[in-house]
Amino acid sequence: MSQIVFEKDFSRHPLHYFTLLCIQLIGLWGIFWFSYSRTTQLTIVISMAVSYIIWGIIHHYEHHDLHLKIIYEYILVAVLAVLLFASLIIRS
Amino acid sequence: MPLFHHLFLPHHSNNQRAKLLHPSVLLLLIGLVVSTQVILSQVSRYYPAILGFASRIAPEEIIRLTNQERVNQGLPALAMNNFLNQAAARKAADMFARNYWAHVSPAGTQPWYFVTQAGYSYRYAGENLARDFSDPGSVVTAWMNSPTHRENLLSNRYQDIGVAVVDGTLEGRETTLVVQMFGTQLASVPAVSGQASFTVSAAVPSPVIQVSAPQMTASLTTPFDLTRIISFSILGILAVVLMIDVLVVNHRKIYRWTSKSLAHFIFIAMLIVAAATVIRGQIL
Repeated sequence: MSQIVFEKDFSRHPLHYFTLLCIQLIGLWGIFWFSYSRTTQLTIVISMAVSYIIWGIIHHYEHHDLHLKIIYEYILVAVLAVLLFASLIIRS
Repeated sequence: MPLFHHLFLPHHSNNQRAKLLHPSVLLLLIGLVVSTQVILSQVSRYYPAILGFASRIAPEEIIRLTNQERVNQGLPALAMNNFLNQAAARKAADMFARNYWAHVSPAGTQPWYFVTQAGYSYRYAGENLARDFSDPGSVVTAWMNSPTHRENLLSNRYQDIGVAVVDGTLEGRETTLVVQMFGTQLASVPAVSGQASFTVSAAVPSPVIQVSAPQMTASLTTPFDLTRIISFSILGILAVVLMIDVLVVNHRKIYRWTSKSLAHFIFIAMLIVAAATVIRGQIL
């Protein structure tokens, strides 16, 4: 059962992970490009985090295992990561 | 060892997911990060000697690196002008006195006011600002990466340059300000170009002053350094734990109803790369 679940995740939704990777890479490129503007960098990171949460919701919805607890986990990881990056930007 | 498994590895004691990835621990980490930043702000504000700022920026080096960039682009080097040095020093002093980080002061004073006040009658003038950088190379690189600052650095309108590097407290933080002034004297350009320019009557030249390099503060470390250590430690540990989680769950064929560790890993890994590019200092 576990094998089926895990393989399903990659083989049935490879486009999902590819999309997430592309979105995050575009964001990363934006952060490099706007290295002179802290505000823009912060906006990009927040956009990356929001995209990542939306990705999680769509992915689990498609996977038929969407639950409020799962959305909460994505939000917590996103908030923690944004906080860590933002604190670095603010202190720089 | 059981504690290590419980915290960092999928284990029966943590419902087959590292405790570090549980919502309760993530929430705790968020609280810790916020608390640490509040404490850092208070300590650096009230005890600047503990978490102060140390810089090694010589104005002459800023000028040398600026000219190097210009020469690389086939442009003539700028001549250091003591009136512009003085204008830059006055601008920096005004920023500390009025506590602002902007080209125009809260009272509406334009940068050009300091240029004319220093006795430099200009046809063209420009200003670049930087703060909190630790070395001159980073300052010039940051300016070169910004289209508007780069335009100032590589403008063929300018013939003279002046730089001031001054330490002080700005917006409650120990800061090193770098003010870079560009100019071309009114008498230097025989024909008036079609471009907009500033023309003011020359004031009586003031005595020449030397802008000295900033003093080193005796701080142990900076809030930025501490934040960098904290951010990289947490992001790094999270990335490693997530990667281990992906591998172990796949290997042991564990069935769980949770968010996807691989997705978290991709997101965290991108932010680690992004955070690695953040250097101390701001430009304006």
